[in-house]
Amino acid sequence: MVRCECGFEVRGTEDEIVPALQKHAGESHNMKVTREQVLARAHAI
Amino acid sequence: MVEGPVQVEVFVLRMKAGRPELAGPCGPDPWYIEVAAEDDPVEVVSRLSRNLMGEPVLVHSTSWRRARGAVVLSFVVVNSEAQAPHLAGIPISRVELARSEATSAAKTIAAAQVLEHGLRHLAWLAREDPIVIGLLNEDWKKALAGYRPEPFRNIV
Repeated sequence: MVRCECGFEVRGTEDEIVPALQKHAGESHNMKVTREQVLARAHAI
Repeated sequence: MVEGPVQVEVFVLRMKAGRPELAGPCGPDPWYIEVAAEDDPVEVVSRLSRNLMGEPVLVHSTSWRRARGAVVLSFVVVNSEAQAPHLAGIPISRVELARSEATSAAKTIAAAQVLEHGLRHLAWLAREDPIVIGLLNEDWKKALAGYRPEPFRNIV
């Protein structure tokens, strides 16, 4: 699971959460984030 | 999560039943956006607002400060009343402004104080700026009439 500071949250496998968070980061925060950056913020639930 | 030497903090405003409310993509919290060296902050805020919520009525930068390890540019985005209805609106409360010294910034500045300043800035534009006067409807002008631009009180 990864939660953005804005409250956006995505749950799933690595292959699900990485593109979802990359899309959110670009569309909502003008950010380009790598797979590694997403996974560094991911928490196992 | 938003990082970088220049960040944008957006307060998205919408009128509801004659009262302005906060109605941005981050609920009651400011919406943070990263600004790259080659980016125009106004273009970035306008583009992301348009993509997420539809064409904004007004996008305006109202202040800046150092925070979050960056220079933070504060913006107000005014949406129309019926715009982005899926975003919950939160009523806006009045607060005291954060006061600077004559040559230095206020020691602490809360987000609500940045918004208060933004609304006072908007109130000034609604009286002085022909573009803003033409864009804001009567509900906005009535609501902003209660926001009085104040002089810099540290200088006597």
